[in-house]
Order: sequence, then structure tokens, then C-alpha cells
Amino acid sequence: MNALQVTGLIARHGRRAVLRGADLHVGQGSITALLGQNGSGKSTLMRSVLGVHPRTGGTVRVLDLPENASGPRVRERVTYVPTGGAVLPQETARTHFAFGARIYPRWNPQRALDTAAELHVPLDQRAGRLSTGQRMGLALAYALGSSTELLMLDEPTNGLDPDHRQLLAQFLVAYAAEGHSVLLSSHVLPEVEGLADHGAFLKDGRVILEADLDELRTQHAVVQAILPDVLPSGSIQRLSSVSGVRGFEVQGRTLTVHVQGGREALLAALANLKPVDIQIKPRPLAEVYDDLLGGGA
Amino acid sequence: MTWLEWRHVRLPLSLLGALALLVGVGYASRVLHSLPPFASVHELGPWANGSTCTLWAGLLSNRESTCTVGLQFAGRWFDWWAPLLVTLVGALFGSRLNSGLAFLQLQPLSTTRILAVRVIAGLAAVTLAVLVSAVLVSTRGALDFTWWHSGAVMRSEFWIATALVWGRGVTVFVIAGLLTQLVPPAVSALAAITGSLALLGTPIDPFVRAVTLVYTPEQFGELAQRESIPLQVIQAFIAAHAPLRVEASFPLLGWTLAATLISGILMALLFTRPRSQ
Repeated sequence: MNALQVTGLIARHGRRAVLRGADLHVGQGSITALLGQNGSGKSTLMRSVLGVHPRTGGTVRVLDLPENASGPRVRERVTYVPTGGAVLPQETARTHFAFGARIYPRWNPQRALDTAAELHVPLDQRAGRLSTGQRMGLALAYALGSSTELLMLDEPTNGLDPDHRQLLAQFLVAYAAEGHSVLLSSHVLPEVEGLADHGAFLKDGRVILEADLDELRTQHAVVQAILPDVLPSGSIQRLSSVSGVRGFEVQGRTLTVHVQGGREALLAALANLKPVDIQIKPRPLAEVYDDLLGGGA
Repeated sequence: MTWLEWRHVRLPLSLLGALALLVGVGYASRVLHSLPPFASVHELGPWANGSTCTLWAGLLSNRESTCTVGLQFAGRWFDWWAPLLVTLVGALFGSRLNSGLAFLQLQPLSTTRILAVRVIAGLAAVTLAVLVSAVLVSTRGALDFTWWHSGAVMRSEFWIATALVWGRGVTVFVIAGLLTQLVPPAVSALAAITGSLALLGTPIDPFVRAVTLVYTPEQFGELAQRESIPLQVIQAFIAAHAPLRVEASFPLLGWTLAATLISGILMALLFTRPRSQ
């Protein structure tokens, strides 16, 4: 069973269609990264899942709830932390946790307190007086304390310093290890690379690719060949027609080729050029992200 | 939700209670300082705002000649401070209707429940302010209408006036609550307060109940010939004569209550709508 299954989701901001038939699934126990540029609809997708943003089409299925279920019964099992964290400015962390204990059936007070302590969130200071990072820390501690089966975090590392980002990654991995699922959106690709096991790339209101991040990393490679001489004319056209080739860079006698999928055909084509040396490296996820979503990673 | 709401409103409610007591006691001890308790009828009774005689003679003598005395309720015995207090209370609670909503709407709580708790808290605050006002005013003799020939009627008028002040508070609460769905809370509170206070005591104030007592010119006697009659003379006249009939006009109040009801429904619809951001 998936923790979340979104099919053909359509949502608007006024007249502007933000989501134009987005499909997404989040497996149970997985950490899925939702990647996309600003304005691509990441927040809207999460809010639509929760039912706090109006959906104009498509279906959303959360856990074992009926299709397009909404309201408190969804929010009892799904927690959403928006960018910057939503808190009650006039209340302290302790009051937030006391409130959480009243409304979440599986509230875990110890996890909330531990997370707050690790993220240096003062328990008795009003949330409105906390720094941006502390406020986000409180929102995350509250969300983790809720012990809901699906956690949706919108840009959760915004405002957190590098140490706290590292801690958050550990918390999320531990949370997922208990069978909970996490959907997080982020622009900070190095963190996503080390944290998420699954990625969904959102562009122009659609998820253009869903993939296992390890598979994605191994699928996309960089083949670098040092040639005995400058590249003969017509070689680029020949290499372009080789299956899987996504792009080239030529610097002097060094030819760099971006390839997706099988490399055998490319290596055979390169062999004709009698290279002095050939190296194959996995392509950084940030570059894949650039290719898929048009830069800005 | 009720637990959280109580945490939020207990401070403003305590401050309001203290403010009501402070202003009420101050009003009673300073403004009414020279008035003995239970004898302040001239100050606290309905406000007689003038008399008009229309006398027809000659060819038009078949028309009814009348002398009228206009009375205004809820404009005098609560004077300025009770309407002011409930205006402030209504605006405060109305403008905080969306407070913390970004957090609350993500919780496993129905929006209807959040709205219901907030509305009940607002109405309770307005009612508390009005009741404190009424208690304070009544201790200063507002219930003593010895100059009026029908004490029972006047006692009911006291409670009608109390209801009118409550109506003002509720209307301000609803208007502020509606505006806060569209503009920032501070702007909505300021607009609601300004609107209420700008109308306070004016002829178009829907929460001032105007009653006209109609007399015959014979009853008015010599008074009918005078242009400017002192208040105490009018009150003495009212005490001594039963009016031919009593005319009261409610359309303005009725329209206001209807508009408040519609605004309340609109407020609830806007509050419970899914928000884009």
C-alpha cells in the first residue's frame, strides 16, 4: 500500500493553473523528495493533498482512506509543515506540545521534546519571539511528535543551520525507519541526495519523472575521453545519434559526453576515435536536476 | 480547541473585565458623583430630545393636531461608555477570528469547529461586557423610573436598551470578523471601531431606539406655544400625562439586524473556504 497516491491532480491559484495533472506516489516507509523550481507547484501539491488548497481535478488517495478524503480524518494521519513552519505566535513550545497531545491520537511527547532539545528550541518562550530557525525547529518537533503516518515537509531545511540540517536528516531517517513515510520538497540537492530514497521532479505543473534516486544516479553517467587529436569534423553528429547520449562538452582533446542508460553503444562509437583514455563517472544529481528542470538547483 | 481558545482569550477577557469595572466605577463615582443612588432619574432616564407641535386650524381643521415628544433609549442611560466598551470588545474579538489559522487549519480539527469556538468566545466577551455595564448602571438607579407613570414598561425598556448595546457589540464583532477575511486584522478592527463610533448617538444610529409620544394640543396646553422647553419640564409633563399613542420606528434596526445576519453568513463562508495560501 502506498502512503500517498496522487493521480492527475489539477489545482489553480486564481486563474493560473499551477498543477496540470500531477501524478505522484509515496511508498510506505520511504522518504520522497519533491523537486522543482520556485512556483512549480510543490507547496500547492502538498496543500491539495491535505485539502487546504482547493482541487479542481484528479484524485488523491492517502493511506487506506477513501479516495479524495478530506478534513480532520486526513489531517489526523498526515502532518504538513509549510515553508517557514506554521506555529501559534503567542504560545510556547510547551503549549504547542500540550495541544498536540490533545488532538493527535498517537502523540509522542518524548520525540517532540527530544527533537526540540536537539534543535535548540526553548520550551517556554513564545513562538513569535523565536528566531526563524527555532520556529522551524518547533514546527518540525511538533510534526514529529504527532507520529502521523505521512509527514509532508515543505522546504524543511530553510532557516536551519548546517548542524541542524544534519540532525533533521537523522530524525527523518529514524522516523521513516519506524514505517512512517516522508514527502519533502527541497532545493538543496546535496541534502536530498543523502536523505531521500525516491525523487519526483515537478515541472510546469506535472511530475515529469519519478525515480529511485540511486537508480537515477547510476543511470546518468559522464563519459570522459581524451583523444589523440582534436575531434574530427562530423564526429559530433555521429555521436549525437548514438542512443542514450544527452549532451557534449569539448575542451581541446577532451571530450565529455553525458549519457543516460546503457553505455555500450557510446563506448563502441568512441572506440572508433581511438581515445588515449576513457573514464566513466556517475553524474551529479544536481546536473540531472538541471537537465530535467531547466537549472536553478 | 476550547482549551486552546481559553488560553488565548483569558488575558483579553481579564483585561476587558478590569477595564469595564474601572470605567464603570469611574463613571459612577465621578460623572454621577453628585447624584444619590436610586434617585438619578433625570440623568439616567430616556433622553427626551425635544417636542414639536403641529396645529391645524381654519380650512384644515379636520386634520389631527398633535404635539409630539421624542425619546431616545440606549443613548442616555448607557451614555457613551457601554457602547464604546462593547465596540472595542466586538472589534477585538472579530479581528482575531483568523488568529493562528495558518497553524490551526493544518490540525485535525474541522474548520466549522474552529469557527464555532471563536464565535462563541466573541459573543461571550460581548455579553460579559454588556452585563457588567448593565449591572453597574442599574446600581446607580437606572431601574428607578419613578417619574414615569408606567414603571413596568420602563424596566422592560432598560433591558431593551441593554439588548441594543449587545446588538451593537455583536454587529461590530461580525463586521470586524467579515473584514478580517479580506484585510489585515488591524485594519478590520479600526474600520469596525470607526464605523460604530461615527454613528454613535446620531439619528442614523440603528442601536438607538427612538420613540415618539403623541399628545393632543389640549394636553400640551400652554406648552404648545413655547419653542424651547427645558428637559425637566418635558419630563414632568410626561409624568403627568398619558400619551394619545406611542410611535416607534424599527425599520433601521431591522435592516441592520438583517445586514448583520447576512454578514455573519458571509463571514462563515469566507472563513470555511479552502484558502489558496
